[in-house]
Amino acid sequence: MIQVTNLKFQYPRSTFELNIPELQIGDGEKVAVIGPSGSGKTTLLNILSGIIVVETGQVEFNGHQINTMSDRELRNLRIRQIGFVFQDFKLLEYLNVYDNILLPYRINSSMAGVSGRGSKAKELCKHLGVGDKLSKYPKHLSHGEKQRIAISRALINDPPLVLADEPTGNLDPENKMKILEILFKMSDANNSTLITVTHDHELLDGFDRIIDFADFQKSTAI
Amino acid sequence: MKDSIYLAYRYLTYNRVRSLVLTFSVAIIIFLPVGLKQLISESEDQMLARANSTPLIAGKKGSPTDLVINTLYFQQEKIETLTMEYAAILDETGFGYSIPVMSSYSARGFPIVGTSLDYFDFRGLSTQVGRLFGVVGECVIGSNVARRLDLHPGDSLISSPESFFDFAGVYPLKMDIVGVLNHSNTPDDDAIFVDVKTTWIIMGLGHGHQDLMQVNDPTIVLERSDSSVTAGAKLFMYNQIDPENIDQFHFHGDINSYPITSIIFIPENQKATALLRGRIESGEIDNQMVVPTLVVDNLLQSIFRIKQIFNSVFVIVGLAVSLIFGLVIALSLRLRKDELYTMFTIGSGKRKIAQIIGMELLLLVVTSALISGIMYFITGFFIDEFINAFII
Repeated sequence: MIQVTNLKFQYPRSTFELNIPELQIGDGEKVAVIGPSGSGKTTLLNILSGIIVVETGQVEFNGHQINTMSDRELRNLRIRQIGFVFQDFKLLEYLNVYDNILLPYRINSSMAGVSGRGSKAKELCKHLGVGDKLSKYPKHLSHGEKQRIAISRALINDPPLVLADEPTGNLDPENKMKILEILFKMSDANNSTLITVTHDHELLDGFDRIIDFADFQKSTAI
Repeated sequence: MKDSIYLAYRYLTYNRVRSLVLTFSVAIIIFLPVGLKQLISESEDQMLARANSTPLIAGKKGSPTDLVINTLYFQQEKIETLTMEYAAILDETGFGYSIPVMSSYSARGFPIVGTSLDYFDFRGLSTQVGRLFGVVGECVIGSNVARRLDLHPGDSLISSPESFFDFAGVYPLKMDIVGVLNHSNTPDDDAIFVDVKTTWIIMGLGHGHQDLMQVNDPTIVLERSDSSVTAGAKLFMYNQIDPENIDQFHFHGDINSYPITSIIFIPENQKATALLRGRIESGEIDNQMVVPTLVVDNLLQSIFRIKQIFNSVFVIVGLAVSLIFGLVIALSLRLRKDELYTMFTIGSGKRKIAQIIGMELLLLVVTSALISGIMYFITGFFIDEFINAFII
């Protein structure tokens, strides 16, 4: 469960201030975050994942006070409990699909020695319809395929929280729906919380809840 | 660590052209000073070894360096000659024995060295096939000559004319190869050895022709008296010495007045060396006598000074390449900012990211060091050929 209380954040030398008096997101909930550009949607994802540590307010995730955790604890939290999906996929061009999915295991020593990760990666790819792409490099994949690989990477650790920052932003309408369906399906299967930042209002139907950041700018509690 | 190495390896192999360019640049910078040092050290060792094994060299007054280089390495520098008589004078001193060396001619690019059989004993040379020369007109060739020209005992070699335009000059001499020397890793491998008299025949001081006593053709024998016979240009001159015509070969004049380029003198002991050099320096015996070690040492001092200049240049080039290398890394990191931030976002620490980058650099440097090691090994393998071909 995510609990945000009296959060105030401002970037240095910026007039914008993110102000969230109170926000609760339950386990397994599928939340869409919408709002105008520059309203702080991505900033919220960064705060929830501990990339930005706030000094005013409290951010709690599954009982952990995120804004009081050490760098090491935050890194371990992100790698073990949060899956990230980005608009531009952020796959490493020099790694093939298989290695890109297993990247979280290679960049944090606390993940070393976890068994069964290879078969998990293959299983995920097969499930997402890219099982035959394991040896391909990102430059040989379509945008839809790249996002499926990025989702596989995000879900490789079965994280209880998935943060998706405009995951359909670079996709055609057909792929947008497919990717969202995949995210919903995986969220249901793992009972993981899904927070998706999106500009596509026509895709909001499947979400449990919609948070409009236009409301936060007016300091409205949800 | 294993994962960092794996990711670094993947990055380098994916960007293989960039990696190869960087690797080879660094490899060359590592190899050049080390390789040059190896080359110079080996050259020094070989030059000194050759010089150290040759106690004294006598020759006409002039450049001691030219004299030593001509005698030890058979370089075809035109140095002034001294007479064969001088070898006899040195022998008469009783301080040791002389070996004449006449090295002014060549055959198919290899020097022809006229000497005596003592030379082979002195240098410890023996034949791998065939035998040493026995009579004039025979030659024994060095192992490199045999290999490069694919020659064997039973084949022949023709001396190269001094000038293609000298129609009135001496005819080339066809020499019979009777043996091939064992490989010795010295300039002897690249030489053609003949009896010193054979070089005089090449020079035209000795020759063989039809027996004038048997010839009655007036177009050949122009004048005949009790004491002499005058022959014309139509007289057939032999250009090869064989058992049938060897008796027709003869020298005109006193052999003691014939030229040689130098004399290797082997003194009986240290005292004999000192006494002999004293006599020469006092002018009691004409010409010059040098200790090759001292001359080569002097030469090496010059090479050493050049080496020091090279070392300074390498330090500057190395520094420049290091700066460029640093710039390439900095630019590369800037280009990879997004990728590294993704790693950080997913859950990597800055230290882990630094470790991956460090591993990439380490792999580059280690590969470069390996390549320069291989280059060093290859240089070592071919160093003798290289030194013989380009340095001495």
